[in-house]
Amino acid sequence: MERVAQGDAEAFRMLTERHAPSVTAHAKRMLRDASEAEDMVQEAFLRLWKNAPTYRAEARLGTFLHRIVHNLCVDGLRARKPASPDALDGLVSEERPSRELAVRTRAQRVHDEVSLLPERQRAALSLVHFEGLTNIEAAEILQVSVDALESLLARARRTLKERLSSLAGEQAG
Amino acid sequence: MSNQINQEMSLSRLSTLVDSYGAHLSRMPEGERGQVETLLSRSREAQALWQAAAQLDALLDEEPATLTPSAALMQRLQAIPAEEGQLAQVIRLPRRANVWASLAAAAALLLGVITGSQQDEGMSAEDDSASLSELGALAFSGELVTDLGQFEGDLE
Repeated sequence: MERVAQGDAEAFRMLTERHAPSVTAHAKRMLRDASEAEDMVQEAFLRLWKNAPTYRAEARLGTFLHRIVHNLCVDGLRARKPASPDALDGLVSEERPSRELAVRTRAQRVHDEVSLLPERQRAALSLVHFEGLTNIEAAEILQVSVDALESLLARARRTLKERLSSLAGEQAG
Repeated sequence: MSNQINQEMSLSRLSTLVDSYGAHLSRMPEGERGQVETLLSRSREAQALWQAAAQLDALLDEEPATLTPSAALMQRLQAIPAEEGQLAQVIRLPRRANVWASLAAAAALLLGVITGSQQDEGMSAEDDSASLSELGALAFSGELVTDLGQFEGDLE
């Protein structure tokens, strides 16, 4: 980060390669719109680059970037109407035959069910389960206590368990 | 009896933990991981809870690859340094340059006062748009640093 603060473009490139996948996935889960999500990620990295000389390492950079992206996503969600099912189209892949299609369809179904969770439950699950942040980091990003985070996670997982029970059966069989 | 109660309590806590974090020891609160391991090694009910959570974890892990950043996004991100300056570096002028900046600010302000006084008195009082001279003064004064403070707020 020090090199980025000194205007080192190569260091910035490495930083984007390291952190963009995780924050982009979180933004896409939050916004359910691939294009808007990528705009938010670009805005977050732009802010990081512009303000790098004044950056103070109070948290891990990944956590810090997640916080910026998450806040941008929340602002984006507040600013728009509830997402139409069409908004998911950008995330749906083309059909493929046989077993790959079955896996893809199941993966898409899981993704769609995650997308339908209430915003804060979705955010908690995305940060902890999918992006592997610690409970403390995720609680900080969502500005809740660890207990509240656990409650959000538990509600999210209970809902998914219920809605995906048929898929779990397939998996077991 | 006491042991039975303890185990039931631990099972209840384990249930809460796997409900929240799934079957991932590393995601659970650090201080409780040892107890979870001990309970799992002793209790079949605990193992059943763990197994059920692992099943959901496996389903969740089948996410579509479309969540990864597109090549276009990566290009846009990596173009940022070439296209955008760094705010603090633009504003933090060398000490010697600050003298000139102060002089420029004073000149711009003076110019603003002169041109302002020469303008038609009929100019609308509601017209609050910044004149070029005001913008000039702003650019060389401390106002932009205040804007930086706002960005810092975003970062924090």
